Amino acid sequence: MSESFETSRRGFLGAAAAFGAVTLAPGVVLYARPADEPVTDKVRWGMLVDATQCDNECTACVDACNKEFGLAGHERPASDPQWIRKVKVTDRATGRSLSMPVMCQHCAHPPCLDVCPTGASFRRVDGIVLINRHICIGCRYCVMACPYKARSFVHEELTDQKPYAPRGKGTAEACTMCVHRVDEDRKPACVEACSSHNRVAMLFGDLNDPNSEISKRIAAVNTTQLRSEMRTDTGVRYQGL
Amino acid sequence: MTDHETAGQLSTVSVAYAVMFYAAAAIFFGGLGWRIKKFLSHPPHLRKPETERPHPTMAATVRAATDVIFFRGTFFNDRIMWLLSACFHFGLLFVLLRHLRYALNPEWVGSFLWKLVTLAQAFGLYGGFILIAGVAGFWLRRLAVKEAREASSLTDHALFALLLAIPCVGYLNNWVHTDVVSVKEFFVGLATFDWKPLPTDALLLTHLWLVALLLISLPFSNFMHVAGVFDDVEKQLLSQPVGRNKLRLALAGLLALALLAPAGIAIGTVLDEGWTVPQPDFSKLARAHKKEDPTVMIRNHPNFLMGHRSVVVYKGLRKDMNSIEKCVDCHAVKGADDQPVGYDNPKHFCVECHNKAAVSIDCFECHNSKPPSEAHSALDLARKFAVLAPPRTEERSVQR
Repeated sequence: MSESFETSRRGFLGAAAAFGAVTLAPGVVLYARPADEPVTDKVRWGMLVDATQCDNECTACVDACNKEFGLAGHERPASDPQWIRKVKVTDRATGRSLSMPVMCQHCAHPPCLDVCPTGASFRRVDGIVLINRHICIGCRYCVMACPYKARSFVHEELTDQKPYAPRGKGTAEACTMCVHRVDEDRKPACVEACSSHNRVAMLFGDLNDPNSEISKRIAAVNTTQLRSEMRTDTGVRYQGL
Repeated sequence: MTDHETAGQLSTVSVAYAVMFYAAAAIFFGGLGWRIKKFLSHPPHLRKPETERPHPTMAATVRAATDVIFFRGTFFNDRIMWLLSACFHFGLLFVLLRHLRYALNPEWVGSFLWKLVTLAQAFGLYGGFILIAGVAGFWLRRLAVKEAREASSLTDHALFALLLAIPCVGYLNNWVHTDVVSVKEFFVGLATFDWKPLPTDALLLTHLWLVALLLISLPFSNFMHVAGVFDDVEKQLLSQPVGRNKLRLALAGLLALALLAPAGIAIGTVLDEGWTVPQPDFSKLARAHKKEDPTVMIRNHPNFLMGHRSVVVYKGLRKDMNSIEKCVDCHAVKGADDQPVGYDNPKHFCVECHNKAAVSIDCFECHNSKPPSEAHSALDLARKFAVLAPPRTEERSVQR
């Protein structure tokens, strides 16, 4: 599995190069969004979580996220920051149990964006749902509105934040799909951490590109969107639920 | 005004304005003292009989205080006049409190009082609008109400125009971003007799000249009624010296004429240096601003930061020049332990000026105010030191 995901990452890079890329020779491409070109809606970043591969005991993705963004708690689970969490679901009838990471689902129609009174919640054209903390007033409507409990609120004054991920007291926050990494053609921290394990459960890529590994997989296997009845059209999909 | 010039090399306009403000302050405070002395030495027939003066009880003191501070008498007499008075006087109070940052040094008043001055900035910013509303309302009343119109002279209208023009030009200053730290140094220099150069913006010079004109004219006008605090305001208004209006007017006119000298020098300077505020080319500024005139960055860094933050957040353009991280990296100031200091330290690059200008910084409530203390990851280091590298062409070749 690990092997196939590694190659899939490469395949995705090659395929994503369909836009703004240079074909040097047949089959050899350079992929890079030039540094002075803004993000476009030609891509839609998404993730596929294979719940059948996710280990119940493993918290590599959560740890990687906490490390990447310097998320430290205050021993208060109810209000500590939590951008990604492990959820264990059990079918009571059969006893079948699954574990999977749940984070911001990067919806195409995000409820957090609908309720935001200042326009701080926004969806970047490449599908990543973010918070512009410069104009967030900390009302926490989005925290309430999110069907996935993906958003949290910064209650404490913070120091020594990561330079690439500013966070501060009085603003809402959530998974950014590691937008600072994505802008540099890197995988999100959780996906990177997951892919270094034996059983790889997370795949990141461009949902708009039919040739990307993630697109090929969701075309081939049965995947679901969480709470699809809300028609949020999430960018994160789950396999094996 | 590229560098801290020594007193010997002060520009003509700086010297002219320094002299003008010394003269204006002398005339204003001298005139104020003269008015107070005059009202205290009323002709006996205008004095209230001694028997009518109540013994100063607590109630009487409170009554007098509410009269002076909240215009109690006017409130029960004429609500519209009271509203206009309150707008003008409290607006002016807030505006003056905001301007304290130009007159005081933080080390003179202590950190607690300086925090209050910093707090007053926001009140003053909006208090100016209330002030303008009050002046405009008073002037409208003078124009619209028949009795008031007939009682107004040309000098009254001129003073209203002046009172309206000063805050309006002041707001325009705010809009083009004056180098407030230099303005402060100029005025603190006046107070400590250590003259410093004044920035030569057309709008700033206009604002300051109008203020000097107001300071010089007020003692000669019947607009100045603060002396009434020491006596009865109504009686004071009754006792305006009607007969000597011409002499007063002539003296005021003469002083106003003298003010034409600094105005001429200011206009000459502005015509020399250009009317418009130089707008730098921001795309080049990020790399070139070390060589530029430092005042360009001092004045424009708010626009620079505000514009670029949106570009990063919404468009994902994480180039070095868009990144506050790079500002912080280069401008880090090392503390006693040889580590970069945070923004809680007054030596921090941003804090040093912002504290002087009593402007609070919100950036570092979320952004890190110093380069991160922990070791960078290899990629972070690569990014950091690849400042001059060509645009990213990360090679990920794949064989299809």
